[in-house]
Amino acid sequence: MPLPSKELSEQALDALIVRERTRIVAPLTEWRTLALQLRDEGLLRAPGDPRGARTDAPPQPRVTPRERVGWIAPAARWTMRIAASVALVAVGIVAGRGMTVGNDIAHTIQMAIADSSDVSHVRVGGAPYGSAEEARTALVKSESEYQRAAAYLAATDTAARTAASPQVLQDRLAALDEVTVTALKALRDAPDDPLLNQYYLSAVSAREATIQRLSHSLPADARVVRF
Amino acid sequence: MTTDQLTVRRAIDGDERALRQLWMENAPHIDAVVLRLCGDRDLAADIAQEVWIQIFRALPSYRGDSQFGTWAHRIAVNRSLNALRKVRRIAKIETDVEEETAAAPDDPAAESERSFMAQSIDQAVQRLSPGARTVFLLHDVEGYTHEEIAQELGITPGGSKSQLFKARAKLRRLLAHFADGFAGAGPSHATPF
Repeated sequence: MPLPSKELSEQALDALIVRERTRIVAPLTEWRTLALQLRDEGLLRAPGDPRGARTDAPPQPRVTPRERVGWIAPAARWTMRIAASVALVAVGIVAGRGMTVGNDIAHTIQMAIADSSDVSHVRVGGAPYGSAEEARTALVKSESEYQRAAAYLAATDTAARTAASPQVLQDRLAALDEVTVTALKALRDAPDDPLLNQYYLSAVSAREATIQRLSHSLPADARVVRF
Repeated sequence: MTTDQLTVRRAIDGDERALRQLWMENAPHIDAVVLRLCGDRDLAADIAQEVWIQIFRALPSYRGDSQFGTWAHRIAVNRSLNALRKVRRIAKIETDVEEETAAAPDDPAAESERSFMAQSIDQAVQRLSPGARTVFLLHDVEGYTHEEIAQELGITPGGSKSQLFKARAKLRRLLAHFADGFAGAGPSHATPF
């Protein structure tokens, strides 16, 4: 059967290019790895060291305490956490609508949120971690593991892929877009908040995986041309 | 003083919160640039690490004339191209310009091209020659001028224009099946959202 010999118009190609220009990806590096190298090079101050990390820095302007610590009211912090939790639960629900895998992930995330929001479960004195740094390291490791597992399932779980309709995936993508934007806004005020970081990275990874799934779930003659 | 400048000043001082904030906010875009130019995810991951270290090293030179992301983008492109040169992915760009010729109608390569259905522009771009791919990405996607590309790659502006022309022509063929989505065929053929 002869293949069509038509070409995409210049305008259509330009439209695809515009979309490519705005494409984002999940970070290719991990902060932990980056931070280690930055410390080695003296670009990152060691925890608790009040001195500047580099000697080539220009004179610093007076920075108010509010600016210095990325100050944010405690009430607002909790508001952000709650908002992020609600947003993530929404994603979990959407994901769970059509996918077995989505159900598992949503359940895991919801359990994690339930655990993290119940302060009675926090045992600072008897915590399994020796320091905040140790806990943070464990968190980053879990985060990476989560992302790898989600990417693997997205790429290999054919049962879940066939179960998800394009509409469910589009809904999921829309929800993930909102979570990504919300988490990014919150991170501007609290860049080292581990919970928000996890939500953000997970949302970006899940968004990419969903786009891949969507391209597989569409009819043979349909293509994702914009997202 | 803008938020970008304040954050950069704290980052220069070695503040982890500020450094991480810059990375977190810009990595999705910067790493996308690196991935586009490299094509290969593993290689891109290695180069992205170098790119970010270079961005943080260069922080004292950030004057705030443009947004931080725009400034970092330039570093990302330069660093990625340098790294790719090291692995000889874009060696002999000038030679590619001279050697790439229009495919004859009965050329087996052209037949293979017609039978290839790219699922995305990203996938189609990977089918271009290294020289054409780099010029196309720098000009059409990253917004560089032909003069800037010529300087960056050590070729002539004319060579850059020639590569771009050939790259776009090939992409239009590789992405021909997308034409329905732009011709008002409706949502049953294209799924915009």
